[in-house]
Amino acid sequence: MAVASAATAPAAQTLDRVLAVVSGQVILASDVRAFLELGLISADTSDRFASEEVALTRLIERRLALDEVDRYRPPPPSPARIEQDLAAIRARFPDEAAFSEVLAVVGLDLDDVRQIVRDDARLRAYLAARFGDAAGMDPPRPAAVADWLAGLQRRVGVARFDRPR
Amino acid sequence: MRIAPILIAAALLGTPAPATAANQVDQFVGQPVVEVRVASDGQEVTDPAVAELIETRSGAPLLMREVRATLTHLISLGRYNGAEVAASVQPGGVGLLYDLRPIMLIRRVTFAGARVLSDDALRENIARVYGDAFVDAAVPAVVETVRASYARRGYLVPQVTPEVTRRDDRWELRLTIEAGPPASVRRWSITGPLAFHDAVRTRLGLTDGARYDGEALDQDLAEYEAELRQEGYYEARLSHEIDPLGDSDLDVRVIARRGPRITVTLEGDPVPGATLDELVPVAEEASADEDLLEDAEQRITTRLQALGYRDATVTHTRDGTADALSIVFQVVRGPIYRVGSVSVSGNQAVPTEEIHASIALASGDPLVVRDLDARLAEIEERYARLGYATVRAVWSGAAEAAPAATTGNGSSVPARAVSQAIEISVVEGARTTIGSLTFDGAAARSDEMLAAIVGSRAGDPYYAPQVDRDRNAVLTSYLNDGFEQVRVSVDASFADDLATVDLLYRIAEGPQVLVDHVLIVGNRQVDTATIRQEVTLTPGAPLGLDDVAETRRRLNALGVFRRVDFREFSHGRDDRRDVIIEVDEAPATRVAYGGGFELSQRLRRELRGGGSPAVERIEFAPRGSFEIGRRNLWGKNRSIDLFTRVSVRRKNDAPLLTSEASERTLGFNEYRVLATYREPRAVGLDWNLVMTGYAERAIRPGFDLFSRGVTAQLTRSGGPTAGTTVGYRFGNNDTSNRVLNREDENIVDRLFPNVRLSSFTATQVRDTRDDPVDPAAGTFLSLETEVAARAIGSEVGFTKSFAAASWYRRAPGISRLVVAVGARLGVAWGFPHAVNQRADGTARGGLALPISERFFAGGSTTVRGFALDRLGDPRTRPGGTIDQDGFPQGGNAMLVFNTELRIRVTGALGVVTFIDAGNVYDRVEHLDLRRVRSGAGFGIRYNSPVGPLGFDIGFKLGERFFFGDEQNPEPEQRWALHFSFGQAF
Repeated sequence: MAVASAATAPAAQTLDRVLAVVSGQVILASDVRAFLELGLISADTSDRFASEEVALTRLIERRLALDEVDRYRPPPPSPARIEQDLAAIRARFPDEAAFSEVLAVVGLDLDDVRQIVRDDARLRAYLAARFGDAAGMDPPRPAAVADWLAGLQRRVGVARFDRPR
Repeated sequence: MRIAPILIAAALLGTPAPATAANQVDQFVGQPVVEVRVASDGQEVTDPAVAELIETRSGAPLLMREVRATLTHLISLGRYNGAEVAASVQPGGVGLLYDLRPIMLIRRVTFAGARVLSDDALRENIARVYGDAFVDAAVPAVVETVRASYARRGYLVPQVTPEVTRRDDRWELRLTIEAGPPASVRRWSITGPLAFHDAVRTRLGLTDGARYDGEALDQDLAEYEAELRQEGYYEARLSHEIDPLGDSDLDVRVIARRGPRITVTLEGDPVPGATLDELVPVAEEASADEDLLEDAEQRITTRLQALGYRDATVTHTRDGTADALSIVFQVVRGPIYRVGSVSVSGNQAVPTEEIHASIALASGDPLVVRDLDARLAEIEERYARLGYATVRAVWSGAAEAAPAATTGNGSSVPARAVSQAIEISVVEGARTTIGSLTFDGAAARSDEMLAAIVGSRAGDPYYAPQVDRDRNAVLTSYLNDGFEQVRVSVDASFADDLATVDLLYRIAEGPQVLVDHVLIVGNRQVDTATIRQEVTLTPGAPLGLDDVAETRRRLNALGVFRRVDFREFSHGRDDRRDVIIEVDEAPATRVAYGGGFELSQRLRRELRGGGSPAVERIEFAPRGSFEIGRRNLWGKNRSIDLFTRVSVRRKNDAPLLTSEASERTLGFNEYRVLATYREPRAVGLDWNLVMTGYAERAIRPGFDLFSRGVTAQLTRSGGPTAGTTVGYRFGNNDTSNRVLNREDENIVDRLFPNVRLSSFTATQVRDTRDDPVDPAAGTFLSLETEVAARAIGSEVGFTKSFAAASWYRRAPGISRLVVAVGARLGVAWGFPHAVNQRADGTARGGLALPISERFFAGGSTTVRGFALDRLGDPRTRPGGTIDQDGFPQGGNAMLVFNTELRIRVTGALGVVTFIDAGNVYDRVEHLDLRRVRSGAGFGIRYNSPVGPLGFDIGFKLGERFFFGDEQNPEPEQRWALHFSFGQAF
């Protein structure tokens, strides 16, 4: 049976879509929204499409970097540190309801956010150990970090599916 | 655990979609879902494998978490390279449409246009690089490969235009090729020594303006290179490069390096047992660089030292010009060192005899330092197992007698021999035992559980490799429970006097990964339910290493897949994964055929004068076989196989034939037809069914055989150590044209009874042996019962049971010694029935069992004081089964007991000593423990690569009987020899 395309159906809205799959992990449009809405990635632009494009690139790099981190297994951050980072994210919202509403719209729960901050902490620890305390993924990133990320992309052969919409 | 990082790249659905800002998604979140549809390529998807992955259910409120999970599941199937979900307002709620873009898997490549190269060669090249099937994303790379192939053959600017089309539900890549003009070589140039240029040009026939074919040129260069090496130019290298000058012109540069002609010689003392090419592999390695020559020096030195020339020295010189190089190895063997006396000192924990046995040095042996050091390391290892972690075993040698000078002719023989007194000194050091075992950081395991996992206990000798094994056991335990990031380390704190060590196991568990979904992909014929039956991974359960391995093993054991791959798909969390099992099905139909001939000397009965003696004739018989099998019937891993074999042979049926008449009877007089049907988990139960039907007509030495029958077996595994089998068999044999002596008559009757048998059997087995061929621990128990009756079509009725039990243990403290004990009991009763006269004049009746069903004993696996089947009392005694001439007739009851000590002397050799007892009784009522006969003996075992080979000699204990001529009977032989494969029981 033929099915009308979602785009041509009246009042159809795209809820979510797959943007990339990197090292066995799917990156969805809702991931991009989540990182932007939660303030985990800042794009330095007011253009929504441009900021989502930047966020997708950063998420792909983050995934590649985390794979590398997993190979060396640095010690996990303490639960207190995770809760501290989680509180910092919460503080970006006027109240708990606004925070919960964003989580519901992007399809995450608190454990998912804890996982994100835990991974970010592990990544920071890895970068500090390898490239020095000042090294980070955020631009302007040190040349050594940029070269490392470029090497990871070449090795894994990253290709993005589509720009977010 | 990450099995294979994957990347799926694709463009998403091409349709423009509204923005998905939070405020627009927000209007749908929490609304009731009233409709969920899945589409791919504009068609509704109804595949249950897809439907079960949709987590957004009608009637439930829309949760973005479930939308995300669904998209992840769908992509992880590996069938789609794009997925999008759209929502629309519907009466009463929200309607969802999952739109999937299928992966285009290209399985066929076709070619069109003005092409020059062979399509098949190109197709083969593409398959070699990209496989038989590839995704559409690989098309640009495939085009480049084709372009490169053309360029290499001299078509520098080929136009290759790809087009992906769909035909009959399969994707096809059509490559339209315009080869373009062939290139010509405007100028050849040669690099390398000038003197070599003309030779290269002449040998390769290089002429300006010639067509360029890179592949042919490389082949010519390789052949020329091989010729040069044959002439001693071992370092010759030839290759080429091109400089394109346009679409059809190019310059070619041949890079030619001949190198010097190399000669290698050995001077000085000879090196026994090795050729010059083996010692100095200049030709094989195509190199004479210094590293290789230094390796050769070391190789020659090592070779001589292995023969006892401990002081051997080897040096080399190279002398020559750019065109010729002479390499000379100067060998000085020095004296040969031989072992004199051997003494051991300093040992207390290990007996001197044991150290001598480990060293295995005999007076007069060549003294090979490397071997001696290796044996000392074994002794240190022996001490380490006892807890002596710092033990050192060293040796020293002293000349024992004046050198035995043996002046040779020139320097070709050893100048002298030195006898060395070897002194082994052992410094044992402190013995360390484990003081305490503690664990830190474990939350998912209690200390008691961890203590049970590790093999070491407080008070045990400290042995570092055992601690490593314990650490690995803990690690494996966690990995099998889904803790893929677990880390385990062991801190060892020694007491000052090294008498004790405290072991602290530090465990960082990390997150436990659970299985979210198990997805099966790639199966076309094999039913998904059939595959799932073999999958031990369960959604919600830990993703354990063992389960992955066991599932892989089971799927491979099905025998219907060429390949089974596991992938994992993460949901962005450390604690849940989809597991994708991708299978590649093997062809369902298997056909095999073969042909050959047999040339053999056979007994034939022929008319000669008034008699019909058996004569031996050489016969030639062509034969052929055909086999066809079909597996995975109806998608349920059922299989059916048919095997047929025929031979064209002269028939020898009665009436007896003259040689002339026999020529007329050539035909398919020998054949074998065997049909087998297998069904795992038959009729929905946990039993595997195997049914076999056979018919065979064969001309055997001394008799003709016609055999046919059917068997059926249901087997159920009760875990790794137990199994149950129930079965049915129906069969009949006819033997004719028998030209057999008395003993062979019995054997033929046992193997091919001229009686129709129909019976049911049931067998229960419990087997905990560590090795079924050569067990050193565990037990084996089996009980088998068989019932045959005329009511189910048998010519004779009987019931028969056989029980066997054996037990194996290593002797405490003596790992080389294994104690084995076994017992077997067989009983059978024939059902009474009337005498039945058969057409061939033979009679069936009474209580007797057919000889094929009776028990026999004696031989390498039962009572070894007796030859094969020769155990029994004379029939003149109550219960006896051996006739007056000494031939065993078998009985309705059997009893066998075995006791054996198995001692491993070296890694490959062992000895056994045994006592066996038992007897065979004509009827169960005569079974009497007081009438067992016994034997004792010894044997040797050789652990060959395929299992232990045995040679035993057994001696009868107790009374011996006399058989044969009544006037002059012969006693039973006192002993019996046996060769065997495997242990006796």
